[in-house]
Amino acid sequence: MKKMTKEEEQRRIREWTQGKELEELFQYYGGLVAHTVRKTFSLCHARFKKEDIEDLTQEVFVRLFEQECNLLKQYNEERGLHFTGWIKLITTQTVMMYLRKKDRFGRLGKDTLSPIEKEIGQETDLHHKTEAKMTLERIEKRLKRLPTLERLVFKLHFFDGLSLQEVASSLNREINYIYQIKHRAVTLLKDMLDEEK
Amino acid sequence: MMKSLCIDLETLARYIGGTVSDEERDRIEEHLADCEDCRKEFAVASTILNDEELSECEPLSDKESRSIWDKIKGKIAPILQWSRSLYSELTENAWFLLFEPAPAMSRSRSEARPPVVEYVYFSKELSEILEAEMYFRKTEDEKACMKVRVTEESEPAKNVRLTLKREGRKDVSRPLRDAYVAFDDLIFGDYHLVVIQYGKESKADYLLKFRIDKAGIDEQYSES
Repeated sequence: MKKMTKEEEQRRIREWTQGKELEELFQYYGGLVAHTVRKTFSLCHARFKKEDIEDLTQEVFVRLFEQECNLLKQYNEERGLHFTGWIKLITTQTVMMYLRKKDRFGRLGKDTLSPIEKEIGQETDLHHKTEAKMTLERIEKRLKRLPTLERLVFKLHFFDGLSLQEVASSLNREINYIYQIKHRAVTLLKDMLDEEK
Repeated sequence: MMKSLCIDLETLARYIGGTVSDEERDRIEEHLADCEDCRKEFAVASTILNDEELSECEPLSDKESRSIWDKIKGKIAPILQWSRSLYSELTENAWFLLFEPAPAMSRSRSEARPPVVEYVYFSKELSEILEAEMYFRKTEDEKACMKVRVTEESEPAKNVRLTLKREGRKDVSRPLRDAYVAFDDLIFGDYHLVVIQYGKESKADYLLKFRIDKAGIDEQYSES
């Protein structure tokens, strides 16, 4: 099966979103979905087997095709997301729903705390689990007092591991603005923690 | 059931695509800042969407896709819905003109222009060289008619007999003499179609299972 030209792809997308030529849709996006499933597992620090990838790849297409292709037909390019993006989004959601159900997410730990430690300069023995947990709890408690965007940027960057460039792109904001927001969040947190000393 | 999130997919897609209003954007960001599950999903989705390596994925080969596709089909409720197709699409298939909807199209009660017909089609590879094509049309409230064509390397197959079975009803068996075999007055229900091709010394038989109901055709599974 050859890769499609842009025009051909647009024509096919129109057909697929009307619930036609579904086997072709599977053949075209099956590999992408399987890779996305695998990547989502990795990003969530969850262990997986080959069978998990196969099962969830099938599950994504079942979700797309069931109920008269309801989910497939919901795609609308005017929302600003390409069809491939829509498939990736459904795939990610399917894997994360599965992980939540199984409670198989990786836990926040040393890897999450290290960059926070570096930024706000708290001295903690990261080798000691209890200590690390307490530091995280202290920060999380104070985060609630930050403005919305500062809170969101801080969490996406430090808890979820997105680079500031990625945060800017996901929130549709300029990178310089995100730098400012992150800087403000860190300063406010530092001030709060210093006040308590 | 799998647990779903507070923000629906459509809203998330619009947020990521940058097509939400400022007010809606504030509301979504406020939620993301406080709901850990939604934020995690958003963070992973953002990373996946920006992953250029994923966009380079090649389509699956026929061999790779076939076995998985069969499994997916087995899990889906009827996917071959009674549909309305444009006359122009059908006329591209010369053989289709032999099928009943051809005159029916000219008698179409629909005021749509170009006229439309209702039909369901699927094809099935019976072997490496043998293929069955089936056209269904809803004729009455709970009835349909079906026409089947069997080809061997794209030519009408020879020495083929088709037998349609339904529990509680007499089998209907017909040889494939013309371009197709027609079965009329099929009341909604489960059917088995047995395709037999006689060779010089042996015969090969194939089984197709499907259900006809008000939603359309559920091609359940097949085995040789």
